[in-house]
Amino acid sequence: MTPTLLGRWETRFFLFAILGGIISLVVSLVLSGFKTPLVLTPFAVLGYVFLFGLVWDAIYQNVLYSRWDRDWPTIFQVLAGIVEGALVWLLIHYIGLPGAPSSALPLSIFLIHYGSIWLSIFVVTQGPLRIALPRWRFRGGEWF
Amino acid sequence: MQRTENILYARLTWQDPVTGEERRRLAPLPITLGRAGDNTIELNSDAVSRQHAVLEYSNGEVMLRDLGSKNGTYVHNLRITRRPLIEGDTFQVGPFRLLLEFGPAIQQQAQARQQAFTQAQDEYATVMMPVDVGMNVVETPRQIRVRWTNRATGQTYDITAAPPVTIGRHHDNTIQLPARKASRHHAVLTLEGEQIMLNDQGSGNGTFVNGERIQRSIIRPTDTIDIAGFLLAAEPAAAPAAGAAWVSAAPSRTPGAAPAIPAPSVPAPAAPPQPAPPPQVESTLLFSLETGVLQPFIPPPVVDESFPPAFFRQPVVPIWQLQRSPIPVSETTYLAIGGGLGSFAWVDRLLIQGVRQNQIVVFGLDPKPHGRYERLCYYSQIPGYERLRSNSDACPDNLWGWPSYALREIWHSLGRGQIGNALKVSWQVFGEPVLTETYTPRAMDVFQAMDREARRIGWGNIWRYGTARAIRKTDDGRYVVAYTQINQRLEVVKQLIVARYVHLAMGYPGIQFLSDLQEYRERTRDFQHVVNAYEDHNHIYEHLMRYGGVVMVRGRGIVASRVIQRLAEVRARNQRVGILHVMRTPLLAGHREGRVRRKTEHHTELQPFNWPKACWGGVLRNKLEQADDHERDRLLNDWGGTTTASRKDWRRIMDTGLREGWFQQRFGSVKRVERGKDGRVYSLLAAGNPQQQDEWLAADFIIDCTGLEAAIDSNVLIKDMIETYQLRRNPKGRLGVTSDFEVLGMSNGPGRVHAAGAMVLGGPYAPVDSFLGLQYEAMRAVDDLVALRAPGLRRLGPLRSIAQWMRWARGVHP
Repeated sequence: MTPTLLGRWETRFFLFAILGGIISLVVSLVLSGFKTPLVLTPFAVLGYVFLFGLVWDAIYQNVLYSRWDRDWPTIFQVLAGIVEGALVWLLIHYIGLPGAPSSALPLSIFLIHYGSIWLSIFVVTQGPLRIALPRWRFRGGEWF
Repeated sequence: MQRTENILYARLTWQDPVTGEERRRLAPLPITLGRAGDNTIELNSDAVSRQHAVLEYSNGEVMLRDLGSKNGTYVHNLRITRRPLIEGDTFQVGPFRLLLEFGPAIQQQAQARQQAFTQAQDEYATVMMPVDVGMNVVETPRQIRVRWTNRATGQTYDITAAPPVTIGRHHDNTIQLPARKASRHHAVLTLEGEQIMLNDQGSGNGTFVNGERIQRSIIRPTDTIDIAGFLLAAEPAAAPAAGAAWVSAAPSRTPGAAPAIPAPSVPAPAAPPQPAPPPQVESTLLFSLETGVLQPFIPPPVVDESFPPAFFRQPVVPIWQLQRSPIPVSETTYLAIGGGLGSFAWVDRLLIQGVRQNQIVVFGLDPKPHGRYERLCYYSQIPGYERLRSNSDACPDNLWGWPSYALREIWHSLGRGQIGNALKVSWQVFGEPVLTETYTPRAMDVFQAMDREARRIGWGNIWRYGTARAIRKTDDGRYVVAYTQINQRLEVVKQLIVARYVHLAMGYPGIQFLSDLQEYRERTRDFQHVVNAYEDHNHIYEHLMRYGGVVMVRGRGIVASRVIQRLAEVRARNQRVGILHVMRTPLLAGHREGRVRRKTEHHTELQPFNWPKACWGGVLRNKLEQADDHERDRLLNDWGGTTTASRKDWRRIMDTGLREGWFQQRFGSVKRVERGKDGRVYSLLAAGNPQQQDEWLAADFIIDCTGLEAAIDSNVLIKDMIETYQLRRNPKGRLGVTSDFEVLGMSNGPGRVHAAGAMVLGGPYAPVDSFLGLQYEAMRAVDDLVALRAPGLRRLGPLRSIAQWMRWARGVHP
């Protein structure tokens, strides 16, 4: 991939909203035993990953500029996913983030939730997204 | 009154780092060099300071002085501040290598020019060649050239004949083999497209290709066919005249005698004209207008005054004149001129976005869109099983780029049980380019996928054999194109076609030789020992296989890497092969831009593709599109140039060769090339410094791997269009286009002309001639037409895109 900063942000926003939203809803339903009120922690986690991600994206873009090809290899995308997830989990676990009490979030649930969001986004950005958005790859990930 | 003081003139020669076009400037000293526009010579690159260096006359010497530049001025690889230069010296400023000449010949030339010469101008070394508009040379149908040896007697034979070429013991065969082990009708050679096919006719003792018994096999020019002790080699040949079945039966030759070189299969010119005309133009290898085959010389033009017709002399043709013309006129909405990869990308998209087949016409010389590309690959030593320098998701057969070639290769490998390869490719696309070498697709996989897509969209129904000669605007907001075709009786048919939307993608106009090699070829007419890598030069490898020899490879870059690889393969079978790799300058540090520097290895810069990857669709694409002309020229010079891919096998070949001594690298500019009495070619390499003597280097063959592109003026249609409409050129001298690739100055009411490929290099997009680049150009051009509400065309929104992808996946017509 050869993203631009705006492309990273837009892709992050839409894929978190669509894929992240669906997966968080499923996790939330499972956690609340398919009863109201819903457990909102998965949505809070999603929100934090997204917000921190906006900052991460700016850092990644700086790394990208230090590469001659100004590209973002697949392996970097994988490493970025691990670092982003680790940061959010450590913050929740050791410092605590509003709306995401660490008691309500065992590591296993976090791994399943975050892992499936990351994996689905990874798979979709590796190719299938281009079928719906044929101009996406030429615009550095920008949707419009 | 002019003072009688001596004014010393100097001529500097250098190359555009991207297009390779040679530039020259003759000017009086002092000559200033730098990036700023007020220098005598403006060198557009980030690595050049605004006021970089000056050449001046001081105390009887020509002095090169650095003006405190950031990246320095180099003479013989030493950074200098002040240094006297002599005639023929070269020096380096950023990516530019300049050759200095100021001898008596230059002074004379300067005086002769002085009158017309108010200010010295850039000269382009490539002057357009007269192009054959004669209709007398018809090279269809294609023929097959077969050479064979009787192993028992050592006699060799050579014929060129129209297919089918039958082989057997009976006298009614094209090739009669007097051997008892040969069957009466043993085998037959046919042409299928560009490929030669060998079929065994149920022979008793079998037909062998490279030692394996076959029933049916594709024959490459390097393959050896064994029938009853006769060794045969076959290659496609252009027939010089229609209908002639037997063109030549060469006298026999005994192996072991003086190493005779088989004649090249490119048609050599007829007997040279009696007093050889002085080479007035520096010619190039041009693609024949009739066959699309690269030719070392284009025959003198046979001017046909009647075509294009007289009304083409006006820039806007009234429709009524077309209607009254005796020349047949047809109409279409969309017209693609070129018929190669660029046309294919545009047509594929038009069809996917709703246009019907009967609204589109394509002109080309090769029925397959990848025909010419495949041929150039093959000559430059990328046979079908080798990998192209192209990305996994640059798929000319699939505008979405998914599934990518890597995914398809993984899938097919799994299907065939080749788990190892599947794992290897998976690891490669996952780790590239950090942990592994970048994945690139196999040439034949790409070509087969394109054939499948061509069948799906019905390319055969819209493609027509034809050569466009000229284009004019019409007074009803359309365009008329004059073109010629050759009919079944091999007559030239002149026709006109009117279209509203025209797409020009005619590829490289030609390939330019290094000037010393071009001079040698024109002087000696020796097209066998000095060749271009893009010509058919398999005779060299065949000769080396048998007799060994030294090959001089000129130039760096991907083509040089391939040729060296091929030579190393030959060397594995004949140890008497040596490689001399000659480059103008050593290169230890790569190009720098911003805070990054390109890596180098064996004096060549490394980059997975021709351009940094973000040029296709990332931050660099945006940057170039937003830049002005001057800035674009600078960016392209910094990002482009000759580079090669980092490949383990190439590294190993060079390391081993350097260690064992059969591969050597030499640096310097070649002043002259001469044919020795011993039949070898000698190159005079300018010495690195004044204390040393120039050196003669001997070689059996020289292969020019610089891959220089000729100026677009070599293309008649483009040149005529630029002159008629006074079109603006971009800084690389190519066609000026908008960011949607619309040719500036060609719009005509609702009518539009778009262009793609090498002819628009220097504009808003860098990788114009790559697979993915051509798809990008098609996307922008077609989106532009959608905005104009072109008939039948719909926007490719998400729903349509998904639906069309599913049709692609099912192999259904769009």
